Amino acid sequence: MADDPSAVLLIRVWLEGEDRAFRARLSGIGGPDDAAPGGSTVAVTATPGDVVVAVERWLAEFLEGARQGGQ
Amino acid sequence: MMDDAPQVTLLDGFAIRTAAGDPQASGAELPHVVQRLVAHLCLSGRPPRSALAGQLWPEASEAHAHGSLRSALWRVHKALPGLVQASGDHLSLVDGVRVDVHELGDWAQRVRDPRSPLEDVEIPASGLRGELLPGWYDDWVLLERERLRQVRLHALERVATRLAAAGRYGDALEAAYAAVRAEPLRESAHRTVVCVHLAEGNVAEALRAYDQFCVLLSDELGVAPSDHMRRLVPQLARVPEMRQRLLVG
Repeated sequence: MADDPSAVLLIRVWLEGEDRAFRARLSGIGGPDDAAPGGSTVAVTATPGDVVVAVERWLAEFLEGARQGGQ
Repeated sequence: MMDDAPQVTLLDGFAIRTAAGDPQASGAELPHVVQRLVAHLCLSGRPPRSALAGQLWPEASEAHAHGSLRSALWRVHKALPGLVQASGDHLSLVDGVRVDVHELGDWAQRVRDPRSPLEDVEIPASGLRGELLPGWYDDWVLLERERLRQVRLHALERVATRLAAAGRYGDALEAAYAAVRAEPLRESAHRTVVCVHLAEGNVAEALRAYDQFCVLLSDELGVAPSDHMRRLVPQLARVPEMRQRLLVG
């Protein structure tokens, strides 16, 4: 991330069953912790609110990592 | 399809077999720029040069991107002569090249058609392979990877149901578990597994699969399965003694 301060966060969302229950998997792709072929799981959630929280946390970590890499 | 036709593999990583005499597919030794150009042509079909250059070198100026494309084409012609053809302003692979992604798409289309006979929806090797070009992070790869992932998931669940209805429970489970591996939290994939076990009369296996999914959902998301899933489990499974006997036996 220090050399290339960019990253990808993939948010997969889907609805389950007849009651259309919300599901989401957030995967970081291409970052320094991305060891898995399909990206490393950042969070799995069952509510849209938790997705927003996970995105905020991931962005904060990304910015912090970029700041440290730029120093 | 001719067996001696060149074959390009993009699922689970780039590989190419250029002639029938080749003992096996390879590709890792090819320059990355050659791999990228061939892979893009596999996915995009017959793009104009300007679109190809823009997608492969999105951060370069137009002139620079076109120069890079010319250089990449020269390297492709040197490393893989006869694989890529130009027609006017468009580039494409020569006719007859087999691409696993195309085979996956064709299979998924046959699976979607309820009139397709069972022998036409047998799972090809590409249906059980992993992701598109793992480790590649270009936008054109990421978007296509997700599209193919969805196509494959739906096809696997649907074909599992058809195979189970035909009494081919082993093949049905292979397809259903491939869908589970692709997304472990996907309830419809787990429902398919449970349905196949029930169709075969293996109530204990169905209960085991159901319980494992309940534990996974609880651990990962803190939620219970949907009513749709719960209704699959037979009434007898709710009798504690019967359930215990089934699971132990």
